[in-house]
Amino acid sequence: MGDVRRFAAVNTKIKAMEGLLLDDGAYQALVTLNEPEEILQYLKKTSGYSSIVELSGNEIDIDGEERRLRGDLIEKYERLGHYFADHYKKFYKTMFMRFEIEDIKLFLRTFLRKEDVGFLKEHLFQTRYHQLDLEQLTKANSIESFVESLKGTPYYNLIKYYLEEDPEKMMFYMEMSLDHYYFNTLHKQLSEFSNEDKKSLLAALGQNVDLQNLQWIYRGLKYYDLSSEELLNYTLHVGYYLKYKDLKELCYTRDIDQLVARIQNTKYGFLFKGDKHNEIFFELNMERYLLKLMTELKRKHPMTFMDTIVYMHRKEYEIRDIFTLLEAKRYHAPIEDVKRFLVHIVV
Amino acid sequence: MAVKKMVMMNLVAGLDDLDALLKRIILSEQVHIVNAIEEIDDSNFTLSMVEENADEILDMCAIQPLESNVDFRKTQEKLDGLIELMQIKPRVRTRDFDVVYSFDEVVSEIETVYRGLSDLNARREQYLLELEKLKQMRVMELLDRVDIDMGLLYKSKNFTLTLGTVTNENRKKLVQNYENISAAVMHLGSFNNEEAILVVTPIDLKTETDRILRSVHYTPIELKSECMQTPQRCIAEVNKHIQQIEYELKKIEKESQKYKSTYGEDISRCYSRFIMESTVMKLKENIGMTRQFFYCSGWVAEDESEQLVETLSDGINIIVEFKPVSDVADTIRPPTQLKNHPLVAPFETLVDMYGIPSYEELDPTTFLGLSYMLLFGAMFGDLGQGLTLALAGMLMVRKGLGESYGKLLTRLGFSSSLFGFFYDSFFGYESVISGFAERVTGIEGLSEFFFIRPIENINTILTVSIGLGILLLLISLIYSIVNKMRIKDYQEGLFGRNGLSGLLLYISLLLIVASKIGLVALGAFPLIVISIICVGLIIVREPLANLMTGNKPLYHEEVSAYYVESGFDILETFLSMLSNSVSFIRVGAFALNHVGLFIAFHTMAEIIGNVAGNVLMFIIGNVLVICLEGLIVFIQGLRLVYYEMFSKYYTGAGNAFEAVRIASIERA
Repeated sequence: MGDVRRFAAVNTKIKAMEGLLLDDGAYQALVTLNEPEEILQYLKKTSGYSSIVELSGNEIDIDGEERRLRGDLIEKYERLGHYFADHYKKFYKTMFMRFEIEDIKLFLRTFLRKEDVGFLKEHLFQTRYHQLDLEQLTKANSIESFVESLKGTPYYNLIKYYLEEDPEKMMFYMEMSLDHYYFNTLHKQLSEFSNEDKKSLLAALGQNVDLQNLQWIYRGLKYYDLSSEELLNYTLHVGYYLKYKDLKELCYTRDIDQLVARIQNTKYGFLFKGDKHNEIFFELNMERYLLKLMTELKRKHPMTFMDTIVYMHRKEYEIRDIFTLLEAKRYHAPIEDVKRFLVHIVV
Repeated sequence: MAVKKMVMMNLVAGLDDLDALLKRIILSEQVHIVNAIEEIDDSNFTLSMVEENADEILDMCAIQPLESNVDFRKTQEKLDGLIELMQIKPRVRTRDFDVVYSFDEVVSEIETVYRGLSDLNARREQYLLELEKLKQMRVMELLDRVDIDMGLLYKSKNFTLTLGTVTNENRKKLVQNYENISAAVMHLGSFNNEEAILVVTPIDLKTETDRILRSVHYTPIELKSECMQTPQRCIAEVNKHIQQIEYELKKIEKESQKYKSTYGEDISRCYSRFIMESTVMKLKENIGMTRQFFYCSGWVAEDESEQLVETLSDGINIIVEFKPVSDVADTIRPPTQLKNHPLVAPFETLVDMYGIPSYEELDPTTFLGLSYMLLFGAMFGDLGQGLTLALAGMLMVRKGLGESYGKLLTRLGFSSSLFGFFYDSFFGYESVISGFAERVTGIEGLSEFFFIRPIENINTILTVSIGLGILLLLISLIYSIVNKMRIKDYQEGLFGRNGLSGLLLYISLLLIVASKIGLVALGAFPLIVISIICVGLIIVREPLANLMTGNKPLYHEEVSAYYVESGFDILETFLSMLSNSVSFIRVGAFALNHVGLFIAFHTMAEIIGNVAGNVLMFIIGNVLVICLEGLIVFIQGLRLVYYEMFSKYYTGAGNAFEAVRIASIERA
């Protein structure tokens, strides 16, 4: 049993918010629909999305609807922040760093694709927890000036080293460096916790780190041909099952098939379930595993921070599933395929 | 004495006058800006249909937010640089806006001064950069035991050598995987919060090593020619160089002081105008425009509106319309601006602490101010200490340490000294005042009927404080009725426990008690009947109010649930009436407590038994009482006004009136 005083209010709120998430029935209904419009109309009728989906006018603006869904998600997270105090507030704020890092990645990718960052404006959501002034960042006109405008934030030192790297690898390095920093900061803050939350959160974060490490090693070898030493330095050494020795062994495996075989021997062999060399499944399997893990942890540790974590993940995966559904319906993908690409398991 | 009446100002003028008008609005400090686009969308922004407004009205359908993409960060950087260089403490002054100017002129003026100083500035920047690099080279201090010419090492054909820093965490990573790393890494020690390392790698493996180093975010330190010798000599030379540069920087500083007399005034003026421009920019976010006109809306105090139009329209063609609050859509609520007599104005701070009154509410400041002064004085009555507090308050105002709190303290201090006079208490000594008064007036026994010492009149003090409490509660209930009737909340205003029924019930209960103890001669029967009727009304208040206003359904929940709740509610009403009234007994209790504490100090002084002990106890006692008891009484008083009174009649859900303005502006 966790801390009732601390979590009674927020967990009640979360119970109510969870009630607005889509349930199995809704998913089953959604996968059988035929057009993106029908998906949106269905959502409009559910209580969770009735005020978010607009569906106004004759033309349906899928892009706009997607933006609103994402904006709603971030706003919901932001509002939950009011329920926390002291080091929980700090931790919650740090979790918002993820959005900031995603924003930075979006900028970087846009620059690398030589597109206009001005168009990003409507896809960015500035929250009260942002250190970056996103509006200001859109004024940069090259990747160099963008990185320069990050000066003074912790992100600057993380990515400035890679500006001279060739563009294909540059993104991978920068992403790794940023994510590395994010997970590391979370882990450092968690280490200062001293109660039940620490145990359950470290279990969740540690396994998340394990999976992240595996993904880096796999991609680093398969697509970018990073040296073993580099790989090992970029991995996070705060995992749950995979300790330094295991990581070293994996990093020094230079053959991709051998690497896959080795990963299959670890606790995370399920990653290659579905399609061995299709990374979408890699990621889907990872997300499904994490969700299941966290839900179990939440059940085992009532009245802890885990309720919030589970809600945040569920909500985020739900939005992603909705996007997948919209996309799949646009191209009229067969129902069985659609089901395979959703984080939510639809039987 | 109240919440100021507001009107919505809708203003239209030609785009040419945009900047000039916005400046006037900012300088007037009288307008609480509302987003004009929202106003127009809500159809609140209306202009009279007269011939002369035709163009402006026609244009309104094509309205859009004012877009401005001027990025003056660069100019700001330059301005900040100049201010820093010349060490000016800039202030915004109204006289800088008296002349007509354009912002482009300001920018070019800043540019000109900047260019004039650019040589100096460039030199300064260069020195600073060099200084930074030299300080980095101090890393060589970590190598001072080595007696090798670094130049030789750096020139070697088959190896490359580099010095740099990594975080401790990353250094450990290198160490852990040392067997696989294509370089020799030597840890030198801590440097600038990071770990300094020396890396030697064969030339052939340099690329690989560089990648590995990058993956641990290694920052190389560049060694200049000074360092291409033994470390000891290098350090000596670097330190000498640093001294030289610091000397040069001081010289530059002196030189820039000269420029201050030449350009200081120009820069100050530019600063004023620059701040004005950024405020104008912020204002522009709330303005709508078409090709010819711009549209701006905001709340203005009604009594200032005419004078404001005069200021704004001086020499500029504008159309202004004012709309009363009743004509504005409910979604846009007017802000609250309080206006109070100077005696009670400082108490607005205490009201704000609880919440800002909403526009429809009665301003509670006067009532709060008077009752709070009364309560504080009664609880902490002492002529000497009161005057001390008042003095401290005045000092706070004078020294600029929180003006409103200073003024508050002054008022509380005077109230305390007034009560102290009648309590016959001067720095804890009773009968000093009465003795003095008797000697001056020559009337014996004056003290007996003119002064009332709490400790000798315990019962009177306690009874009077409850009586005072009852009076304050009655006033609160009247406030409550007025507030509720103003927002047409008949249910609570007429039948609620803090409404008319509650007031009648409270009065009749008081009278019943009074007649029981023989204060008034009234028959109990009619009072009991009135009480029962009031209780009945309170119980059925919701259906009754709904019946009156014709709202349906009569109950918003199940009927049985409503009556159970209402029944318990009445029980609580009785309890709270009793406890709220008795609660005021603390006023008397603290008055007694105040004397009691001093008796303790006097006793201690007597035990010590000499003059020094007396003086010591007098000082300690007074300091302790002023600080501790003063604080307790302050809080208890606050508790009484917030909990016993505010909770009855005050919601405080308003928005403060915030006129667009420049903070700390210096007026000519």
